[in-house]
Amino acid sequence: MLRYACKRILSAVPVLLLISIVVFFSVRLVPGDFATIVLGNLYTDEAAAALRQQYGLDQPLPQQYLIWLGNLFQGDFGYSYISRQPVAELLLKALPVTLELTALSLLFAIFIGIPLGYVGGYHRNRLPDSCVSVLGLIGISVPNFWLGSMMILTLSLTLHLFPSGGFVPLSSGLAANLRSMFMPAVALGGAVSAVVMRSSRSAMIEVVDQEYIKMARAKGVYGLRLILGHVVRNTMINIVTILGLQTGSLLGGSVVIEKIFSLAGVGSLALRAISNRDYLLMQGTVLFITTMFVLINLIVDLSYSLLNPQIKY
Amino acid sequence: MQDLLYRFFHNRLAVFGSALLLVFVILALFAPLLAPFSPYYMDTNAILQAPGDVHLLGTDNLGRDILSRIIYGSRISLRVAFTSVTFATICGVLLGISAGFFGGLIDHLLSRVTDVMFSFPEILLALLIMSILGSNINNIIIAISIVYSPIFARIARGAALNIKNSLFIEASRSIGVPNRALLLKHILPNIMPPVIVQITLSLAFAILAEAALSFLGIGAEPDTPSWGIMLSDGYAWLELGWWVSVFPGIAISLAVLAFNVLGDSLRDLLDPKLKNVG
Repeated sequence: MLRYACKRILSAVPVLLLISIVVFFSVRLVPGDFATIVLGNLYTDEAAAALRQQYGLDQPLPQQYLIWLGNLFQGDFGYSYISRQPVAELLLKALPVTLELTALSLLFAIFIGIPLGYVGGYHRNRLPDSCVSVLGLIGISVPNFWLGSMMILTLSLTLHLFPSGGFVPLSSGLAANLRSMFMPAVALGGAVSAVVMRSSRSAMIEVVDQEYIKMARAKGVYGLRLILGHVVRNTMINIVTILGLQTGSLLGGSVVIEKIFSLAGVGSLALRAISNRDYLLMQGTVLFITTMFVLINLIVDLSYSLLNPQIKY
Repeated sequence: MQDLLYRFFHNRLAVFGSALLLVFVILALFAPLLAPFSPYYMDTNAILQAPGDVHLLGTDNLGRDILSRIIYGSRISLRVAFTSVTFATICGVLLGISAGFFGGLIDHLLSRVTDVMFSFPEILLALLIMSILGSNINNIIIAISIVYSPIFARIARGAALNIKNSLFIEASRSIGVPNRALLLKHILPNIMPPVIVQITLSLAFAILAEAALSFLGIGAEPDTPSWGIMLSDGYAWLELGWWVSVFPGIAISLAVLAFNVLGDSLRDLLDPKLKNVG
């Protein structure tokens, strides 16, 4: 197991290096000159040249890449050209918002999607199953940003149950924090819970006809006991794989959801960096989100042997 | 084939999905005949007007008819979806079957490239590509094609690997069928079922992606009647006119639903393993 884990972690290294190359060079392909944006009315050729030199942008691209990469290993992501703050600091400030948003959405997806999917699969081709299937199809079809707008319209502007946007940090109290995150988490987690629901349903269908389930039933194990004792563990590998892959759509979706609910997370930081041509901030945020996604799927991969002891590496 | 068509038309989901899709195709094809107004016409006397007799679904903040813009919007959504998924399918499938069939360096290279591309959340990758290319509809098509090609490459590669060593391929090779003919005439038709299912599902994703990019302001140009642009306008005027965002959102959801339903039913029909499931 340990050997497999090491091998798997090592194999992620070249992927991450390739990603850093792609991120660096694609960001440099973005048209528009940051000096024009930073200097605005004060733009002169000399001032622009001085600015480029100050940020090392006058050097050849491969050299710039190597310097950036070298600094990354020391935790130095460089400076944002616009706000002049260190990128690492901006990321750390935005991280709790995005982390909480994705975690809550994931929890929503797990606690709504898995039970409903099990119910549908257990009662295959009967009324509960039809309801679950229709709900799943609607869930994957509704765009998350529209769901978000509709929640603001109904729950916030009309019923005044939740604030329409803004992040209340955990330090201001758990209740206020959760109130501010409820709508974003549901809007972002809605589609993912539908995906999870659909795969839990299929997983349940596969398991429910197995001999050991029949055996358990013959012994008189029914309902929740049957599901918790015999089904959950055997369907978990499929569901965990889907959850890992779906964190990608959660991380990507957070860009849109953070914009709608005015949350200052990593997604909105990335969006701001892209519209401002803020190279280092752009590189930092995109690399950060992508690395998170790679690491989560690495963890998913490694969790297989915990979920199913038969899997040995 | 006849059996397949019979099962298709006796599958309620498949019929529902195709009918819904047909409605959108008709809307897109006959938009000038069906839309009561031009999608760009600004009625200055009817700004943010609620749904009523003249403007069935109301007007937006510039007095443009929502219904007409939704009808014209179906053109943009379907064009983006069909063109980008066609490109993605052709590039992905060709690369994928070549990699699976020939193996070696090309396979290794393709696998690394897809690994890297799969590491990016889709919307983020599309965002990055759009910021390089600039905002307009053709660029959305390019961005979405690039984002979805690796999915097709991976599916085609897997399917090609599966049948590469089967007896009929070996037999064809032994009688001297050249590689190109093997790939196009024997392998390609045999890997189509999973590819067709993926095409339908990708069409749904492509519509969502276009809407999301336009909503973020880096997709279609601001005055285009794109559903995503309409939602972004509607979001700004949520408090004063619910109809500006409600109706385009319903349109997107229905169009995406049509493709998802169709994809689901095709998967049941084409995958013999799942024939009797669900």
